[in-house]
Amino acid sequence: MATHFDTNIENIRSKFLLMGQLATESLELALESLEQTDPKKAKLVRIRDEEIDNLENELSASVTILLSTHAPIASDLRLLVSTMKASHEIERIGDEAKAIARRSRNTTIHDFHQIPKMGKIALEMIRDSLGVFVEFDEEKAKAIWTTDLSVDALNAENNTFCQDLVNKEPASASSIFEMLFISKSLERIADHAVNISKEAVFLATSRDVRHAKEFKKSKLRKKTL
Amino acid sequence: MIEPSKTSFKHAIRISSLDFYYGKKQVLFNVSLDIPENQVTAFIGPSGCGKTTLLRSLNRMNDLIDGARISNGKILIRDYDIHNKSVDVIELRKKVGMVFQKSNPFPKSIYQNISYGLHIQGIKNKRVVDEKVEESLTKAALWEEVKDRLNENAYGLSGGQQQRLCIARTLAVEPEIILMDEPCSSLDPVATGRVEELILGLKEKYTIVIVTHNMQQAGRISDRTAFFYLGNLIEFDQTKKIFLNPSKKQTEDYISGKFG
Repeated sequence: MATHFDTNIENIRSKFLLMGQLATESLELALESLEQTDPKKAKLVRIRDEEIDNLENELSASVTILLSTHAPIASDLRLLVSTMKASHEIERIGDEAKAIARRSRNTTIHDFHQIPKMGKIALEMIRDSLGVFVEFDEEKAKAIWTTDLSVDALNAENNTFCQDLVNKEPASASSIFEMLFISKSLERIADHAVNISKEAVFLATSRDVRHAKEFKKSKLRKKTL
Repeated sequence: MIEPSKTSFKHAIRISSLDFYYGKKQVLFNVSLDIPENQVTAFIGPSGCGKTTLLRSLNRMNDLIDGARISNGKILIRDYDIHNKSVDVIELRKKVGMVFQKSNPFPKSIYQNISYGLHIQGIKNKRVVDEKVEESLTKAALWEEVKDRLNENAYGLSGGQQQRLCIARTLAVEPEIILMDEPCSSLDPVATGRVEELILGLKEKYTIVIVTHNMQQAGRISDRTAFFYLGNLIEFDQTKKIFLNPSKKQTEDYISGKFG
């Protein structure tokens, strides 16, 4: 029979997964808003961001109450701590998606260079990180960290592209800057997905790999070369 | 007898392959564990799992129970077998003191509660006894609260103060190891907090073994935790490992309150 505690844990998990779903949809809509120059989609992103924020508040409150009233231990404790931290990462993804949607209205450029590709990869990374959070798979988690390197590389390409473009079309500078920021937002979203997958490692194994030397970007980059 | 020694031992207590019986009923099965010096080791487990029996074995308190016997295995304290015929049990209990679940001060003054053990040891010099009483009460974080009423009856103290008095009484005879059997089970959270602080302070000089039913307490004060079930030692590891990611499912189920 499910206890009161089990029911609360299940509610927290459901809220977390709903946040993840909303963040994924937000990013999809933000990217569509950019490519289709559709302000309605930008509005839908804002609505989702509010929902994500509310869910994060509810989730934090529920976790705080459970921590104080049940003083959970072992896997329950890891679940609550890592879910609260991962939910903050999702909330940040929601914010970045909102920023992309807002900037998409201010740019007049049509060649987005590597942004669509980055967007696709970032979306996959979010889905994969939520996947490993729900059902842990260490290899899949590590694959996310390697994929993050390719997002960084695409962001660097965008930077070079934008610098050249500013020289060629100085009149479009403000639009080009918006593109730079959008690229940076996608790069940050990929980082948040990495952080979620690292919380998944803690959840499953109690190992804290967030700042582990062997998984630093510089080390991973050397390995993939 | 246990030789007084300044040598540092990695393990204050070594228990190996211990089988313990009350009459025909076996209550401990092949228990082996090494208790490190100057650390707090917690014994946890459901009622009847054998943790208190094991604790009481460490200073041979079970000798007082009819039919209680160790059929196999041994307990070494500072590498000395405590069941060796040459061991003076009174000396052993001085070196391995005990604090019980329910505070049990003598029906005498606060001062006499501490001085009693010293008198038994033959210490009669009033100045020495006075110093020892103050020192023990200070170590037990009780001196400031009782220094002006040392001659009042110990029963006038609060539950938490009585328990700290019992700890002071134990400290007065200079033990090396202190066994504690649920020392906070009848104390309120404030008194519990004071005793826990005291335990954390005492481990610099003493090796402490504590039986507790309060999982959070084990988590707060112990360095290592041993989980017992039906007379078997299921898991013994660093407390942070036991509480964050125990190796055995039985341990996880018990500490999370999902047993059975």
